Amino acid sequence: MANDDREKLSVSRRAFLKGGALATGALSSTLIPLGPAEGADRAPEATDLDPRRSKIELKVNGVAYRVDVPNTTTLATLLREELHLTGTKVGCDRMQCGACTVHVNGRSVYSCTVPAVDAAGTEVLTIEGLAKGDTLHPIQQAFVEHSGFQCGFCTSGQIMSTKALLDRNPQPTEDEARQALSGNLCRCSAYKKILESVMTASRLSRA
Amino acid sequence: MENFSYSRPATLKEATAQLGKEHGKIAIMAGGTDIYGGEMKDNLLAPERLVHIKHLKELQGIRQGTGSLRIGASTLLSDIVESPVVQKQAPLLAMAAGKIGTLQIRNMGTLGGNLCQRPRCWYYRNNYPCYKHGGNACFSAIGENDQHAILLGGPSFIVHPSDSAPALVALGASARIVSGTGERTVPLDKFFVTPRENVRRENVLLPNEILAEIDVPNAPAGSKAIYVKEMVREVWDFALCSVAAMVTLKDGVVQDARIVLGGVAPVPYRAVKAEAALKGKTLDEASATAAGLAAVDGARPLSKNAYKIPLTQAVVKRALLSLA
Amino acid sequence: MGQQANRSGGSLKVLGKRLPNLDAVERVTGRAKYVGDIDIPGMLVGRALRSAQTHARIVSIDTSKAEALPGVKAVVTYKDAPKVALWGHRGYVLNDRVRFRGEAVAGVAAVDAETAEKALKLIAIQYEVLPFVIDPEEAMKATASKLFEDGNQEGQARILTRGDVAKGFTESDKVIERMYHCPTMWSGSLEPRCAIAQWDGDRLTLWASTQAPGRNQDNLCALFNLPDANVRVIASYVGSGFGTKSANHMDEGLTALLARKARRPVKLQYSREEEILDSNTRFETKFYAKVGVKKDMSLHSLDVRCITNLGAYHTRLGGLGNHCTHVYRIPNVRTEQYRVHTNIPNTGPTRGVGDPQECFGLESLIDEIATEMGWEPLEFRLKNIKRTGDPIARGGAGTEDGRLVTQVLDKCLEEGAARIQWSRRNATPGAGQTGPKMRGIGVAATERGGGGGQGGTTIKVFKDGSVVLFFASTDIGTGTRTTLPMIAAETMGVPVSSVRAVSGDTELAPYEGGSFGNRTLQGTGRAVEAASRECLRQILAAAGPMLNNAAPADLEMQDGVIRVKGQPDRNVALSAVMVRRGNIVATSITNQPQTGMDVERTSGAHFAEVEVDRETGKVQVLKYIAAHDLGRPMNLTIVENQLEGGTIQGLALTQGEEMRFDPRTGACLNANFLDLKPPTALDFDPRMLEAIVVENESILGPYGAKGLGENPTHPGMAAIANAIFNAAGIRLREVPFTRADILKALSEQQTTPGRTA
Repeated sequence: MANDDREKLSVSRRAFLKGGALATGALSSTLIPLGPAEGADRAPEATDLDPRRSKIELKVNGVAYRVDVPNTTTLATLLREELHLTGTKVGCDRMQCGACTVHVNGRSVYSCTVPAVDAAGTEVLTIEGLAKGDTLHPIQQAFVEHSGFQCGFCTSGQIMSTKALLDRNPQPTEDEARQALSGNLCRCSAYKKILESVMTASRLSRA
Repeated sequence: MENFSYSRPATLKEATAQLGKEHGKIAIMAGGTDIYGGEMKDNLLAPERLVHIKHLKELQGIRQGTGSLRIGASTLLSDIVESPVVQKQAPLLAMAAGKIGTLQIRNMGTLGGNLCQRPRCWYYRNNYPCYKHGGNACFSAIGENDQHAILLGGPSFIVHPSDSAPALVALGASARIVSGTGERTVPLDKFFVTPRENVRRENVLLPNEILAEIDVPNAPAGSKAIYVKEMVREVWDFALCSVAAMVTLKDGVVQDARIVLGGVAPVPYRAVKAEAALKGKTLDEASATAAGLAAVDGARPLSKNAYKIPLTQAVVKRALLSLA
Repeated sequence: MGQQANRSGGSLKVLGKRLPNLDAVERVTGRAKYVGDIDIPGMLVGRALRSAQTHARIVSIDTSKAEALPGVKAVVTYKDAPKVALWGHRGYVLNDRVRFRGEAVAGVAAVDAETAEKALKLIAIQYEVLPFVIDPEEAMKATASKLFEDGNQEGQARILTRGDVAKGFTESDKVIERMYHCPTMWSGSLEPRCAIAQWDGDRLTLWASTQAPGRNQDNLCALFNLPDANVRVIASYVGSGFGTKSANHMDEGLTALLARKARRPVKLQYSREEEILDSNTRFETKFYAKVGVKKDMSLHSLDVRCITNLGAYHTRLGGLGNHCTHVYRIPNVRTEQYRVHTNIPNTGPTRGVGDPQECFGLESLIDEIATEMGWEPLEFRLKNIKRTGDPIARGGAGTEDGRLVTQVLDKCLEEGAARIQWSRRNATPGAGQTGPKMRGIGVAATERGGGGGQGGTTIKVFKDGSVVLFFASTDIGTGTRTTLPMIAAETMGVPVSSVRAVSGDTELAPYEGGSFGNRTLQGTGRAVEAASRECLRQILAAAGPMLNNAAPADLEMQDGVIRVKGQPDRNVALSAVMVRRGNIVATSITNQPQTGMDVERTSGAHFAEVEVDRETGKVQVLKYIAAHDLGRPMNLTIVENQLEGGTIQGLALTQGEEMRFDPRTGACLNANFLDLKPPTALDFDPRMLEAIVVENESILGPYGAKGLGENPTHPGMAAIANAIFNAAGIRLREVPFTRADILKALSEQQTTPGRTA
């Protein structure tokens, strides 16, 4: 290659690794659980002293929270590090694996790429919100019955996508189920057992 | 990611008032899947302020226009895919939008964002000092280029990654663009710009402008359309090549044809020679094959992407035959 | 599957059944705590500074500004790193030289992530940039830039010889030569690496996402010069590993180094990009092969030269396992293996280690020579494979001084062929098909050791009769936290629901290296069986006095009830015995059984039916059969899950996962999932995939079990390549099989005059 090309390449402005690591943001916020009764439908407000932080109100699994976080904070980080709901996993932090799938206002999204400020005023459902006490949700029962996982790291996301499917289409065909879960990687490739789990979940949910 | 100040304006007017004179410092975010999930996380972009327009009521929803649908730029892709009105009046758009990413991405991303997303070129995304980043080289030209342009390439060889764009260009859609000082309407095939026109950007939007609405003319009566996308994976992938094809047939004879390619050029590529080759012909194996050949007329492959020529020919041919 | 007889003639109560994983509820509720989910009060955030150089010497490194930043509690560089090479590596935790782009050159621990990341930017490094080399054959040249003082080649060429290959080729009726290439491929997990280190004086606890807590313990002891007793490694839930978490890696040491300097616990969580660039990846192999056959359809001579691209630091493994020597009866074999360092990220053990690459080369070659001779490739294989009773090498040498036992590769081939209806394949590849879509069927065979080695466990029976099983190996999704308790329940005669496994803790269980190489079910499983027998012995001894002084030999336990054999009315509950006895603890450490001349392996055969689209270059797998020997299945659901998942991981290598390096900078350009393209639920329709468990019983494993984690990943590339050839008459010798490769091969086929398929 020509010398001038090498010159250009060697002065890459890039800080080499793209992001930081998975957990971003200095949180150290004030976490105020508001209790299930209070609503949370407001837009975020800038924190008085620092325009790069926001006060956010949102409901997670039926409980309202008010938090104050840096604007870089993702919903996944908010859930995991602020609310200690670590069932939501972060496998890529780039919308490329699906482990972080949660529902926001009833739609499945990748929480790693939802800015926490965007989730202000919403209702969020995570894996922790499915079981009723010690009683598993039918989808969870189905995943237990069929071993719809191996290592389990993607499982929360698979289950949340299954719920998104069955909420809209209680009796999916196998092809519809595969489509609906195609935004969730399973690196162990337990796809056959996951598909069996989804079909059984459909049956159990309707029972 | 560098931290930023955040604003969620209440009106479009308030939003445009916050925009600046250059790209980058003040950035517009809708769904955020590319700007936040890609560019900012990958340190390609570090805006001081993010203006969040996803929640603007003025930019949301699908409305009936006169002989057209008016779709707010912040309308979620999944709403477009599932909209009975879109399925009826512009099925090509519903099909194409359904091929974007995954369900979760369509639940997050907006139509405006899909049209304005930045290139997927590995060198661009790895922050090589290429044309797109203000440098003076296209590294793909001398490096890994199997995903790059075979048509209209140079000096940058990126391909436009949008799935909705080819469909909208085929449908003859136009973009309503709003700034603090007024608004303008640009036909979508003039909205996207080649690297020769502007090597830094992929569209005509100025830093102080917001893409507000897309006007999508109803598909012509008697027309049939299809969007076909070839990927490495079955899903969750950008197009190696895609085609939005719409034909109006009368007694099996093509009255009008629109063929727009994705994934093969820096802009959604309107294959006018293929369209011309079809007009007045019976839509059959021979005419579809001829249109496939015409679609890639003038293609100039790089070292590793010559496969896109036969692939595009085949995809165009099959898309057309499926409409016969 | 019905009840099977065990070796002592009784029937099995627990093993062989389909049971849900015992820790399934934790995994489906999000309650399972992976390392990244653990929070310790006062814990700091660790970050690594990664170099944008591909090959450079560090001239100076100035950390003063980073150290001065408020909130920064520790900064470490190569100056702080012990000069002790990591196990299986040439590198230290941090080095004074960068050997691949993305290598860590410093670590920071700070009160939060934002401060840590800010601190990374304040570290100033001056480099002396060195020329780099990323191609292994270039790296072997005398003129190549050297990564290490003694050159780029790791050790001497490994040469193995049986018979005389040169003479073998002159005696052969047909000889062909080919080269098969597998590039560097990503092979990691969904859970990125993560470690937490906490010091208490000179005692260290490390929570890590690892397959091999024992190896990590060894390594940390060596790094910090600590007694084994002072280092505890814990890996409870692990978000899979596939081998990449089985060797030591710099992150565990770096986390411990930061925590020691900061005097506070530190968590170091890799980003996805870090995990791809700085974990262990599947190594590149160039497999140069020459094979000779005789007209009587016998394989006569095989000469293989394999060049393995180890990347920067890895030292231990190479691209040749035992396929070339152990699958077929070949009188003359020579394998020659070169292992070369280059300036690409570190490679390491990955599912199957070099076996998928070797299987791709050998099984493609077998197909090619069969085609040249006009032989039916399955018949050719069946004629030449090693079967039970055939000679086989016991050790690593070429001499076949042992005898193969319990080998059922013939059955794998026959049952798989029947299931896919092998006779449907094209008699002449690619011939007789009209239209753009061409179908074909291919096969590939594989083998490997069944696991085992030394294993250890401690079993505790509590005073209420509940049981905890401790082992230091891990359940990385392989289900050992279910199958090992099943072995304990079967052996002791207690309900499986009363047995809980505590895995991956070096302090609570006897030493084991970890879970890798098919080993845990046999290795740890034997120890579990032995320790369970000891617990049962003590229980029966304690129960005797409660049953009119019945002799222990006359007692048995079923479902937690001890009975006098033949007199079920004379019984006592385990809980009643244990209340009197107090608790029982038994520890067992077992070695690989001595088998004299007998050599046991485990084998499998895959059959693929594909459709090749002549116009778009797309390959679709229509049907896929994975027939495997795994001894006796312990839990059919887990067995199927392993076979199905492992098979798709093998198929994934035909679709993508190649790490692409910019020839001009040496940078990996596609270190993300979007561009590596691991398969989604839609890519290989799981419904077309069928796993066959071939009936067999191991002489080595507990209750006849063999390990099976690795094998299903081996044959995918070869089976698909052979099926594509049968479909379209094109031979692909490089993975992944891209549209570009396929369309190019098809167009060359059309323009090559006189070519016959």
